[in-house]
Amino acid sequence: MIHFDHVAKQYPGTGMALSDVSFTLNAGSMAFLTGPSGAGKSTLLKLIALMERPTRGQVIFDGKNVTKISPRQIPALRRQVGVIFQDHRLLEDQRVFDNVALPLVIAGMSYRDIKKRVRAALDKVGLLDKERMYPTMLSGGEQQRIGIARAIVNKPAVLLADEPTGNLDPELSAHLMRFFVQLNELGVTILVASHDLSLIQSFDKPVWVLTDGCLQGHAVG
Amino acid sequence: MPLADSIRRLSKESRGDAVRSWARRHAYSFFSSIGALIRRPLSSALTISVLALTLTLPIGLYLTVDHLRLVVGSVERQQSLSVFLRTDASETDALGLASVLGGDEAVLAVDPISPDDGLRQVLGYLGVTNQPSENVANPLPWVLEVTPRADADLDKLARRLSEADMVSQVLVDLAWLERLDQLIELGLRLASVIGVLMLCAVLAVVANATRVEVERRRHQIDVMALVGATPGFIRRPFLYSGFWVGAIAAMVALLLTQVAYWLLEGPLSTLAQSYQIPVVPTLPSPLMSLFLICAMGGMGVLGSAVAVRQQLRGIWPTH
Repeated sequence: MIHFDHVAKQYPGTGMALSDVSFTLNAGSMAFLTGPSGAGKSTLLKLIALMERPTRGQVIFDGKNVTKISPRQIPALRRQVGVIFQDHRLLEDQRVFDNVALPLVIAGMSYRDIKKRVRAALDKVGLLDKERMYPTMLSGGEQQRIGIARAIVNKPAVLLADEPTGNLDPELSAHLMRFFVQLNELGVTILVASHDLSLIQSFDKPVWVLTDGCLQGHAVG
Repeated sequence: MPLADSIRRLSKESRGDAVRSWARRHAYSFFSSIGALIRRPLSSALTISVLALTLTLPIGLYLTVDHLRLVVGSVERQQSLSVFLRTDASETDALGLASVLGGDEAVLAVDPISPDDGLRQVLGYLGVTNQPSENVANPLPWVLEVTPRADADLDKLARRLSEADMVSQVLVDLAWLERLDQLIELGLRLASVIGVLMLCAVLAVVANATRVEVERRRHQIDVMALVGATPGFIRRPFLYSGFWVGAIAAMVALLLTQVAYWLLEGPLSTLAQSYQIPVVPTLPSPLMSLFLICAMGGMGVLGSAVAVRQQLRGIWPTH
């Protein structure tokens, strides 16, 4: 599903974020990405969702070389990828329902279908009763779950999560990770970046370690 | 065959779905643009008033000059020459010259006006009703109103008349009307120039308002782009907003013009009556109003398109 071939990313003015990264994440599989902060975990995820372009190397997504695609094709690619951010990236002036509905509105879905899908997604993260609220009325953990609901509402083939448990207590973190594993069992390809090593090692999934812009060992998930 | 049928049906359905989602996306843009204007009433009202007030000026100027043109157009344009005789010319001189001129091949009719008649006419214009006392000297000379034949060369005739004995001055009555025509033409041009400048102002004002709005909604735009919104989907609400701002400003400007006209109507008709000029109520015609609204809306779209294009660079990384 996702294949990195000697990918490097350098931000202008700063050092190398990724120097040489190669891995393959097969469709329907799941892997954890860990490493010290600043090792390039976020950069790696951004390269998949084409929020950044690699400086060198190839990124293959679903058989397509996305390093070569034009800006016009980016929105379609992003609709296949659900991204969960550490800082949630919710719209604070819109209700929980509208936040989760955003990807479906963009896809031009009918209101009836949107309602059904949003309710289902909110139900999955256990926040169905909060749909009329605004994100600022919710706790950090609840906001994170709203972000997850938005990422899965469009039933994307791939789910990327950047430090999804960053602001959560251990119990909620474990619950959330188990939720990702459940999603994976339903066929979603998942890549989770996290520095919570003890938590991610408790699952039977490959753990890739990113240090100094390089992946340690042969990474295939 | 059943397979081909089902494929055909499937593609037909998906085409219908595509049209429906297209329509839904556009409806979303349409309503969210209205929502954005309503959610920030003060900023919308300020932008619209700036545009409406600046637009009222050229509309008012245009209507005034256009009204003047109608009034001037209604004045009877009989070409005639006023031949002023010297003040020492007697009645005999005047009537003699009149009969000589009456025989001229370029002249259709001659109407001699005595100083007394002339004085009465002038006093009439000035609104003085009581008769002048007998012992005040009448300063007016004899005047011959000469109506030339339609095919006569007016300039040549005027020159010939001015060379005649006892003639002090020849006035071609049409000259002042022509000068007024030129002034009116100038006024209309001026209104057009100011109008075009105002349309450019719409462009600039809407572009700036859009720039501020995009900056304010930066976070929302980023999030929408992240979950797969196309540039068109992000741009469209701003373009609609630009149209609304321009079109509503045009409507308000037309309304203001109407109000200004109501306020001026009373004094204007009193003034016009004293000059025996008909008052023709000229308000923007429906066609002109429609044109204004569309033109302003169009400039609004253009203005916001320029701003959005500038502001949205970099959301989708290029190579």
